Amino acid sequence: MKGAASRQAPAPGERERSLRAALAFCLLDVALMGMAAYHSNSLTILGDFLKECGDTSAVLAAFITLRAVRRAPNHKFTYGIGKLENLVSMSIVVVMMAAAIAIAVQAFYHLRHPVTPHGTVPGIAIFSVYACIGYAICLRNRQLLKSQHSPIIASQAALWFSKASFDALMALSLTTELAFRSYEWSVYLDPLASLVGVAFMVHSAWSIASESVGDLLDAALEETMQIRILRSLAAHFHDYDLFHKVRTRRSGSRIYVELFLEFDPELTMREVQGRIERIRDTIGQSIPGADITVVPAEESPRPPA
Amino acid sequence: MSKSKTHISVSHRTEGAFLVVIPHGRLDAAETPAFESVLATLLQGGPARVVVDCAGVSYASSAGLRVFLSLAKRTKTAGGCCRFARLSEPLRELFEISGFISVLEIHEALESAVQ
Repeated sequence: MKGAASRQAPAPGERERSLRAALAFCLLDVALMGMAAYHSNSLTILGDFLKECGDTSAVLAAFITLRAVRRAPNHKFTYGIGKLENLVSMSIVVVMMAAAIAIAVQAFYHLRHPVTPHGTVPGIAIFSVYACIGYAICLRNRQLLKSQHSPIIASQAALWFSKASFDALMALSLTTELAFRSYEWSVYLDPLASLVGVAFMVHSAWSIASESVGDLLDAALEETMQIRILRSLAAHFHDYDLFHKVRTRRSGSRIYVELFLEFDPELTMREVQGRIERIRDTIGQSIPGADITVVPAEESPRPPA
Repeated sequence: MSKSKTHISVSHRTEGAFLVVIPHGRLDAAETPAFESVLATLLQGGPARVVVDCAGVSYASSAGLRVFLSLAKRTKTAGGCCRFARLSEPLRELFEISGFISVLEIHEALESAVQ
């Protein structure tokens, strides 16, 4: 009395392609930043290089994980290893927080010991291009999320949004600095913009962490999903006698729904099975990719659940 | 009867053959168990004809809606009935979104519900 929903989620290949493109961009970025850090001997560029290394590791880990969770459930992990996505998302949070701390330390240092930036015009061009690419990758991930929930893709969307926002802020601060370079206060723009970027990163890290921790602790699905389940139950109001309870949870990109319903004892097993199939189909159509179990309860142990 | 120490209070009275249950407050995930517990006590006597006066319910989460659905099924299966009267605007909207409006018995006025 159990089975996957009838409407299928998009192929995992799409998510992998998106991550592969992000990974290629990250590797190129790390190579360029590494060369710049080696030649410039600048603490700022070295700090950015280290941040990019961390981001690249996070994207690489996400890519490897996405390939791993595609494996079918086995005798050891009978529910699959979808929660690995949440664990990797948490590691991405750690990377983001480490980068945020490194940038904040650097920004405070530059606020106390201001330096006049060099190579402003190429910097504006590079940061602008990076911001555009970052936002494009973020948008692509958000589009994928519309068709299927995935903790890894959600954390990637947040990661690339914070990266792109950080780069956009850098481009903006460098442009402002260039326009007002004759003023003394212009040297503070760069560290101040970095601190705003840090706020973006911390916010993104917090949103990923709160979602992943909920999933790891088997939190129930969000209200919109619960209403879809109730709508399906209302649509099949006359198919069951009593409604005991509903249990929901996520494991990676998979959604599990368990319904405890009581059926008319006069019905045959075949008739009950037919009703269960219809209820499952309806819920499956409203929650793509869900694994729905309808448990026929025999006797009401307690009133409404 | 009413429950204190929670943000939902539930009172009840009998009108003719109907038990009128009057919840006041928000039926969210935190408050719903208290409401559910009061309902369980009230319905212990067996088949019942129940009217839920929803005028005082400002909001219901999915947990609250589940209790309404469960109550409707329970009374119907036991040979009674369950009617919902005077839905507040937000609650009516939730009933429409969840499809309850087409399967549950809803009345604009309490007087018509207890007829």
